[in-house]
Amino acid sequence: MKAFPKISHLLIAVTALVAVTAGVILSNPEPAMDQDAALIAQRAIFTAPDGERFSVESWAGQYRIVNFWATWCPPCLEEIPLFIRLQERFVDNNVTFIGIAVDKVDLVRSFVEANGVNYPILVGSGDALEVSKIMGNYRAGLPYTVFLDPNGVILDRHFGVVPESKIAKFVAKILK
Amino acid sequence: MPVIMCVGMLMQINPVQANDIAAKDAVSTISIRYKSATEFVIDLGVHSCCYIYQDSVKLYSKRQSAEIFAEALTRTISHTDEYFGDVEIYREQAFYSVKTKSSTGHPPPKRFDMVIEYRACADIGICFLPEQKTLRIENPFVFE
Repeated sequence: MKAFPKISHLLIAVTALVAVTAGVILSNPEPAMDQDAALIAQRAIFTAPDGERFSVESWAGQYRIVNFWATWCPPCLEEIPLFIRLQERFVDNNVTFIGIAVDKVDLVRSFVEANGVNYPILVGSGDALEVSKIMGNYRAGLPYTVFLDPNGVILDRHFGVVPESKIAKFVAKILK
Repeated sequence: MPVIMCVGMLMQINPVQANDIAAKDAVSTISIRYKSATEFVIDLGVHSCCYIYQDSVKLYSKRQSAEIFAEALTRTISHTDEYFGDVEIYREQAFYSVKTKSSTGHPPPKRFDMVIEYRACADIGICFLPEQKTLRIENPFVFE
């Protein structure tokens, strides 16, 4: 008889814990992403630092790691050397990095030249951020990176600096 | 007049709540506290997740005839950025004392639009697009 209150207390505690956990999860839902809208967003045309115009769709048929960044964003600049190194490493694996800068063309051009960026860079301003939002960047922060298959389907995405291990896993899956 | 000034110092006029500001913003509130006909204080409330770069904060009047002179009242915190090195930032709050003057030699302007610009990042390693907000200044100490 003495054990009964203890079990009931335990049950109440567990139930409360589950309810609180569920409440926390439900109150912070990650907004669902519309893959169709994301595909359309990939057609948005941006200008490269040399004046040519491209969209993310220009590289259709390849696995793409699309990174939204800016020269005024310190964590964005932190990860670019990694992208340069990995672009060189994965160049023969049908993988390309694409940088979309939410920035001014002249600042991006200077940065790209000074740092030897070896993958396509496109430049937009607020519209580039809007495209990133359609592609799942509901926090509207930078850097934001999406991983696309050759058809433009978003396989994965990452807020903040992408760990090298995440890119390695993505490429390992492709090479399987 | 001194009584009115004391009341003015205590009350916050024209508060802009977090819900009015884009949700993806490091600044949660912007309040204006009028102190006199020629001075008010701007209080930027910063979300606990985030910080503002001191050198990015700019305040200016949109009306040519209304000159403003802003001075930071909050101490900055030293912060080291991987790429930009040592920088000064604000956390939690940033106060600015703003003095106004009419550039035409007339009495100080009662109402004008003031722009606040700032750039902010979050501790989780993301940064937000530089913000530019326009605030309507309507000083109750200036009589028309």
